[in-house]
Amino acid sequence: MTSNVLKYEGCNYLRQRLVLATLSGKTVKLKKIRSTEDDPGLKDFEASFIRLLDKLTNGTKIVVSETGTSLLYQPGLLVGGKLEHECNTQRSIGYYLEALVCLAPFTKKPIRAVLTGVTNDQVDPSVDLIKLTTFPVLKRFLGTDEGLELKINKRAAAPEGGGEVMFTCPCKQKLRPLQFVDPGKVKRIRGVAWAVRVSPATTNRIVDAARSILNQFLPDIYIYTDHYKGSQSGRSPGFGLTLVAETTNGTFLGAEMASNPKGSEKGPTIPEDLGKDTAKLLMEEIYRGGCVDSNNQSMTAVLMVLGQQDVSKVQTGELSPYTIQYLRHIRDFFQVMFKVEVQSKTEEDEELQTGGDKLLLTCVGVGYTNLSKPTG
Amino acid sequence: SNLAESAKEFFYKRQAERKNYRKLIYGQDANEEKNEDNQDADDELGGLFKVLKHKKDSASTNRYLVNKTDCSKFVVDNIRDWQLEEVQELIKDCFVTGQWDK
Repeated sequence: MTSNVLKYEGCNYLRQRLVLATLSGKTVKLKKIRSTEDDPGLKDFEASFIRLLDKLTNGTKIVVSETGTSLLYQPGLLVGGKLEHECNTQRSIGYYLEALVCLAPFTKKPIRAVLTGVTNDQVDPSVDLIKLTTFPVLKRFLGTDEGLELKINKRAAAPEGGGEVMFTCPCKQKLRPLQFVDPGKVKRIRGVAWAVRVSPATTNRIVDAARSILNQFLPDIYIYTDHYKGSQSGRSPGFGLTLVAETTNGTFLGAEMASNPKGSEKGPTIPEDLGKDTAKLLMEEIYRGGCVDSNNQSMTAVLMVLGQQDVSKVQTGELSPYTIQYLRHIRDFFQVMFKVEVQSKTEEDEELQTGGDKLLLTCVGVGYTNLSKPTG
Repeated sequence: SNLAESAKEFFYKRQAERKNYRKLIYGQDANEEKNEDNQDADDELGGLFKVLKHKKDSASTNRYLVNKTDCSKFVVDNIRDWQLEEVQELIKDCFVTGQWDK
């Protein structure tokens, strides 16, 4: 039994390790979590994440050492169903959702989670970005988007939170293999400019600034303005912009920014700057390109491995450091290695200006089936 | 012979690129283990005190990495100036308004 325990050091990539442990059924032991820092051990948001996993599963054994610097995680069965969770406000709901979307297809009962906390911050992907870019990819694996929903009931900026979202996802017995190597061309850009507890005019200023750059590339642009009031707007002021470029073949490339949180050392953010910078970030994402954007590379990789025993192939842009680490962990937990190669251009394509090198990720699924979900 | 030569060139180029990514993703673990082996010596001073600093220095990058913030965002260090025309040219064919492959 002891040989089955995977050991790691540090708190980085905690989510990857616990998610893969839960999916593979392997026990994982994390040591030296911030052991040399002034404030050692697990932080509140990590504890909150572990509690969420505990709610999602049945029979999970979690042992945290007295100092909080080591953690033993023995996964139970994924149950899912209805659950409510207060996500710690040190990180946004996106931090928790990113892990949840990888687990949701394999639960016994379809997941229906009400998550409260910060909906938008500067560190993690916001709930808007997950809805607009992650769901289209998830839909390809599930084969349907029936029951796949993310509803933003209350929006809240960092640091105090007070937001609420509802996430529902159908569970499947098997995932479909993914064959997605041609992203097509960007046909339109959509977006959401949001503001809470600041003047509603802020959103218009963001939109105008973003448009001044985006219009140089494409005419079809529409950015929704989303101003939440009263009890729906959380406890802290803030604003931000999420932009998504949609292609002819159904690829969604996203970029986003949020204002500095209240009390930040960097001072207040200027809406015009934020609009322009987000537009530039989107262009960087388009330059990188691929069929899934940089935020969704790792989820795509995990769900490809957990597919049927069939070849999955996806085109991506440059891999993010987070994805590279995920690929290493996938090898540790599932003994699957990806074939990663640079996509060679055909002669006709040679002269096209389509940004950076594109990679092809190929793997064979492990034939993972959802044992707890009855057939049919 | 020109064709054969260029084919050869392409083959080696492709080969090099492939190795590159494989190494980048899956090759690093082996190096890390090697580094750790070297540190084991000189751990204690007079069998009483443990020398912590030694370890920290040699593996500082590694130490730093293991307890970094767990975040999936792809941070771009220097964003290009997308208002310049020659920079805009770089991605002009990514859009429907650009040139199509045929």
